[in-house]
Amino acid sequence: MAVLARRRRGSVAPVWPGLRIKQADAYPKGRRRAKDELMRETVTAMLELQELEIILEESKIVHRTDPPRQMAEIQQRIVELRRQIPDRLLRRYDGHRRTGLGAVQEAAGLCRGCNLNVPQGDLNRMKNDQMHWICPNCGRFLLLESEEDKEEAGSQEA
Amino acid sequence: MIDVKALLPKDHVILNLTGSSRRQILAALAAPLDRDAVITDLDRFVDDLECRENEITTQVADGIAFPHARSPAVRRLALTVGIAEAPGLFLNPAVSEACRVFFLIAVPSFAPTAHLPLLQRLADFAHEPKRILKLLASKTPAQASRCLVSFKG
Repeated sequence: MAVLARRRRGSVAPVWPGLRIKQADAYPKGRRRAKDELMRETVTAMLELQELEIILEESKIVHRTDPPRQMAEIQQRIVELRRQIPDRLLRRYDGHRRTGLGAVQEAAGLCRGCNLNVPQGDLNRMKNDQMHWICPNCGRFLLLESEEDKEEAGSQEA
Repeated sequence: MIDVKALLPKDHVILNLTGSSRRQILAALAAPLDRDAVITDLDRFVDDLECRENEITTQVADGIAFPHARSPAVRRLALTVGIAEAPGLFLNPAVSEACRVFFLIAVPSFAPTAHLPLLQRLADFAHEPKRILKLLASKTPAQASRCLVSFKG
């Protein structure tokens, strides 16, 4: 009803908040950069969390009945990392982890999870904070390649 | 089911493995992978193996170790097996027991969970002391490779 009332009033506010698309200049440049860094930190935390979860899984296979004391430390680090990630994003990550990887890296426009090309327009929208850092093909979280990564990759090729 | 035969050609089995430090042992184990161009950078792969060992040791009781690491230097999933003469080699300074059997797994960073079925199979193999004794008694790399491949889990 509130939505319909807003529509009648001719409000310019978006009708469906979930479908809201922000304009590129919706945020001042400094705030956009801060959001970009926040998303980078979140996805980096997810990748670290995923790495620790895999190590724990490996250790359960290798050390069957006699777990080493470091396993408890890793479990503690997993708990701390999960606290750093917002609940909504963590639920999505966990959903993907049930069947494989939850977060992957992007390299040269390719998602390392599904090996499909991420459209340049989507990459630009992710960088401009108009879209979450999520692969449009497989839905996994993407850690976008930073300028330093690109330079490193370039120097390795040379 | 994972095909160990495809992952373990007989030249990936090292009998009389030697090395006075952890890095030397790991480098000796990774050498066949470097020779076959499965890894692009031996030093980087050994660094990644050491990092993984520092997280949690992959050495288990009965003198068996499963060193493995995800690395950007790895092109595809691969396995090498190393057998050391008695009394064995010390992989982890924190563990007083020496190791005689090493299963090294190279994991590409783009498929970080691809090795889990292989690790499970090797752990099942190593769980039975009789099978390890049979592997230790192998006279040739081909015999050791057959011993692992014939295990159906």
